[in-house]
Amino acid sequence: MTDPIRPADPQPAAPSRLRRWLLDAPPLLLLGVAAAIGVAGFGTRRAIATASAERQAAEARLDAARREAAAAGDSLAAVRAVSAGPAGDTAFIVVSIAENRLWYKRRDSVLFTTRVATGTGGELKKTAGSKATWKFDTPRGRLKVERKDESPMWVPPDWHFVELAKKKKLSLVFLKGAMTVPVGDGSVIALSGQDVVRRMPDGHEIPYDAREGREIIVGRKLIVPPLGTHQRRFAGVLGAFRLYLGDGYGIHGTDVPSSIGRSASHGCIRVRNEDIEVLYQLVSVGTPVLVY
Amino acid sequence: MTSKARVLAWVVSVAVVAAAAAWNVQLLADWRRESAAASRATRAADSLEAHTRSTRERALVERLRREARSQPGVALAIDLDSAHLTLLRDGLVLRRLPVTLGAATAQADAQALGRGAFEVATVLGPKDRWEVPAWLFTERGLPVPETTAIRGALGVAAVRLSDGPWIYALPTVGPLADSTYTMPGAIRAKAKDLASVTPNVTVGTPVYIF
Repeated sequence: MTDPIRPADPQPAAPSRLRRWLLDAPPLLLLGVAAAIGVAGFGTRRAIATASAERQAAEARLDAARREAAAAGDSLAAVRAVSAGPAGDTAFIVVSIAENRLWYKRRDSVLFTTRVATGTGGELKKTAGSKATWKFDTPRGRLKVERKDESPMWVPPDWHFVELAKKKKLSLVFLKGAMTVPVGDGSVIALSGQDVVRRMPDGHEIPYDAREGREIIVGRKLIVPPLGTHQRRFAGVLGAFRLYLGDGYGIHGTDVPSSIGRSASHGCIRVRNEDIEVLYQLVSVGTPVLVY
Repeated sequence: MTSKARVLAWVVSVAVVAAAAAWNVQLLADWRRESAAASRATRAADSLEAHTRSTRERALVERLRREARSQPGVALAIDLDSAHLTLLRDGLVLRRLPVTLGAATAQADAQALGRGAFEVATVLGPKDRWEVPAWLFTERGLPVPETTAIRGALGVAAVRLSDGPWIYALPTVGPLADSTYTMPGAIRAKAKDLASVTPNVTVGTPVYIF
């Protein structure tokens, strides 16, 4: 007999399609995920291969860079092994013509500097009507101190007399041998040994005391004493010392200090007397003199 | 599907996913390692190459400096780093003077100053005319005149090097007469300084720029 009130037990209901899917699908989904991860993994493997190739290329480049760096370092070391300047520790003199200045240097250090006078650059005709000239330049280039002179005497070159004669409108008489020049009072100017003398009518001889500014002038004639005579050696003109540079050029003192700092000389390098004293003490024979 | 089968499927699926994930993690680690190694090697190579370029530049500078100091006779040396021009004779320094260097500009038809060994190609004096290039007027914001050959446009003295750059003095006429301006790709010195140097150089005098 059935209970009319209590319904019969229902048949277990079949799971719904959704529930069945929920129960069965996840493993399939997970397998799908695994497959996707696997596919991604293959992509990563390709990326690894690419990165690996890049690493190898970069390491090869690094190796090459190391070799290049070593070669460059060797090259720099080889260059540095060569001396960076003239050998030795020689001091030298530099003279600027444009700036009329002298430097005494050792390597790149200035040991002494002062103003100087250098050549005017002017020209003087050797004889009237002649095309030959003297040019009063200080020579550019490399000279050297050939010797050091104390109390140097100036042996005026011919241009000194030519210049003076031109300035004072005198004629020149180059005294030589047995030549005599009458003075007008019966005496004559003549050579006697190493002197230019005034020979009196009685034969008495008076040597001339010639020096710069006191040249021998008779009437309108300027007497040029021969080289080697005492009258062709002027004291005091070059100061107390001279550094002789050869070929008639030198660095010396002056009796015209106002000329210092200007282009005023006939080619020599003039300095103040107190400066040539310093240079004379500092500079040794053989010192290069570079004039620019 | 029975519950047992479902559990088994779950276990297998999870295991497969875990294995795949682990494999992928391993791959990612490998990729990171390779990428990092490549990156490290690239950075090291970049740095080393830069160092090598710098070393080569230093070697070039040192070589040119030594060549200038071992050159017999007169030579000019221009140090770009300290902006100084040096007159040398037999490697001994006669005169060292400050200069200004003209950087290349976009408008200028001039190259930047390069290091190297050159020779003096032209020497100009104060009375020489210089054909001022049209681009220079344009760069200075000036109209290009009909006649561009200007006497003294490069100052009291000027030297042109074999590869084109000029060393000139500050002029009083022309588009370069401005103490705040240096012609691009050129070297400018004070008039008094350069006038004391140029009487010593002739065509063919070696010039070292380093």
